[in-house]
Amino acid sequence: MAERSPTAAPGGPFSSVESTTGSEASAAREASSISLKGIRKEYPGGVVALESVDLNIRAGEFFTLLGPSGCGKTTLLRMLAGLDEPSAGTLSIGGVDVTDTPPHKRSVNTVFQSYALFPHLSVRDNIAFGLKMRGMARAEREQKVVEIAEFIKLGSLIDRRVDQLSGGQRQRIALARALICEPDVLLLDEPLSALDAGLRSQLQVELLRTQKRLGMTFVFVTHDQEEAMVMSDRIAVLNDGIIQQIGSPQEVYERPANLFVARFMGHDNLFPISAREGMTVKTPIGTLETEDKNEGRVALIRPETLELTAPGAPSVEPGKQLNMLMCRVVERFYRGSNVEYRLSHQHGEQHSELIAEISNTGDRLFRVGDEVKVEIYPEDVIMLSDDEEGA
Amino acid sequence: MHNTSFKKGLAIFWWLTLVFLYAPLLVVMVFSFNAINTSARWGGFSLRWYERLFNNDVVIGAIGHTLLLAVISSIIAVILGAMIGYGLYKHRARKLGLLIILIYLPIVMPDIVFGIADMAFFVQINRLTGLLSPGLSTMVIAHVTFQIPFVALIVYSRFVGLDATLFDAAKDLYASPWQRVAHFILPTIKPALLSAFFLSFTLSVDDFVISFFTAGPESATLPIYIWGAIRRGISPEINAIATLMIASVALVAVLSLLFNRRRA
Repeated sequence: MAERSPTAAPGGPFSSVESTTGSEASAAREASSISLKGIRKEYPGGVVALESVDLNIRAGEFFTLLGPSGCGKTTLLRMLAGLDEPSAGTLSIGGVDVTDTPPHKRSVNTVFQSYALFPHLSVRDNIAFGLKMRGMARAEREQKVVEIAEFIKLGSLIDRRVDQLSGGQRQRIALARALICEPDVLLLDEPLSALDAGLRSQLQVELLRTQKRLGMTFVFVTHDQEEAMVMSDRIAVLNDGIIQQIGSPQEVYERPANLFVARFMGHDNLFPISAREGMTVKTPIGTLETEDKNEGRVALIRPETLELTAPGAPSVEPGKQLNMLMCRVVERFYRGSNVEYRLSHQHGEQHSELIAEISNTGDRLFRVGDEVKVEIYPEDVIMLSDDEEGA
Repeated sequence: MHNTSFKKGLAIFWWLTLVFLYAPLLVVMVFSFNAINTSARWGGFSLRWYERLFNNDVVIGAIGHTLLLAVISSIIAVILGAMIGYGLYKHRARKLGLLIILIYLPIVMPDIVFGIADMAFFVQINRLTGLLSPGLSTMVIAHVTFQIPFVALIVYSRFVGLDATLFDAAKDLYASPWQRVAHFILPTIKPALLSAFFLSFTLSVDDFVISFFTAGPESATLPIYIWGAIRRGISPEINAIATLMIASVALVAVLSLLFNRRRA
């Protein structure tokens, strides 16, 4: 059993923070890995929430389950917490099989989407709840609460009533309440989704720093691909109860495994491939050179990889064979740091639309109606399988 | 113009409702202090009926039976009703239509039907086993049966109003099943339990019909005493009892409201 002794060594991870650097603090605790084998969840009535999931989460990793609502990511998280039981498969945390361990005996804590602070308890008692349930003496509990309040910088929040807290404050109390138990794994179920954008990005940074400082294994659930990329060491993209891709944010964003992942990561410029010959593919915008050796049914050209120049200008890289096509600017969206152009392209009878995202470095902007030369590096033409299950 | 006359009409209804609700109570209360033995005219202020009341051992006994019955039955009803309320909540996803109808039944069933049925039932049990002869025990059982649905519904609605994730949070924070009861469920529904207790209490004190059919010779409650006394004519003494009951029920109702409000 992965249960941890309620009386941790004196000077736990939170008390040491004041006097030591983050690396020493993280060295003090041993993070736990997670291993899921053939995890399946089928609800009565035949609804399959998870289809045979295999997943290994490394110790000390910030791991994100990303996907649209109903993809199974929350079910997976609840299984890690022990709040849902798998219909098949095994789950181990820190090398110990916990498939049949009830939630109150797992050294795993959760920050819930609704925060789930107990309305009948003060903020202090909410934070100390887990320690009290594990039988820690009052004096020691209170000491721990002071330490965690310092660590999360709760300040005077600690003396407020739960119903006096704003969303962001509740979120931090919920985090403190989970972290104080020093779990092997911390689970976070869309903990920032109820907050407004500014607070959200601030808490993203705080959460990330907290995780790095503690070196604790975090499993984070979100439907927001940008949040997933900012926070995670690795991301698992889920759809229909199946893992579509596992990889670093860069891998998932730049090399999506299939059409679903590409769409979910917010990519435009997806063109079906009608034929392939060696390293050239036939698409509605013409024949394109690629360096991608993978078979694919769809070509992805990320909007920020397009190079735009005036029609007569020299190539952006004269020594290299680039894909080149002429387009017309249909719409322009000025976003400050970058500019998005919607381009139309005519290839024979075939009319297509492309999107280009150009970082705004102070060069002259194109206007609606301008003709532009679009150049695309062969390595930026990426092959995708449209079989969403073929990850 | 039309609007104001409509509002005036509504105001008249409102005042009429209040008058018919409270004027009779006021009459009873006023005449309980009447110096002469009639409810027909006022003969000056006096406490003599209250004095006589408190010297009447039968009345004191009836008050005692009423309170004892109300307290015991309410405690039992709150315990059992809370468990049903929790069960209804816990299994709300299942199709519990029939169970809910079963629980609602005592609320809609005429008291007289229940009273007669209870009496016949207890008489049969008594005849066959010698147990449950009419008295406090039969009255407690009968009262608990009609109090339970109210308790169950109050507790159920308290649970429904909770964030369901709180149950998960308690499990997640290492609370064993019994710790969840002691440190989460009971403290959370405490206001609902208190208001359910007070409601059960007033229902019990208020009940005449079911008590009448299930009481024994030694366990007459206040309503039963009043009914017996009234057959000899309405005396100012009855007015005094009624006034005391009005006061105590009002007190309990206010307490119940206060507890219920505090839970928010």
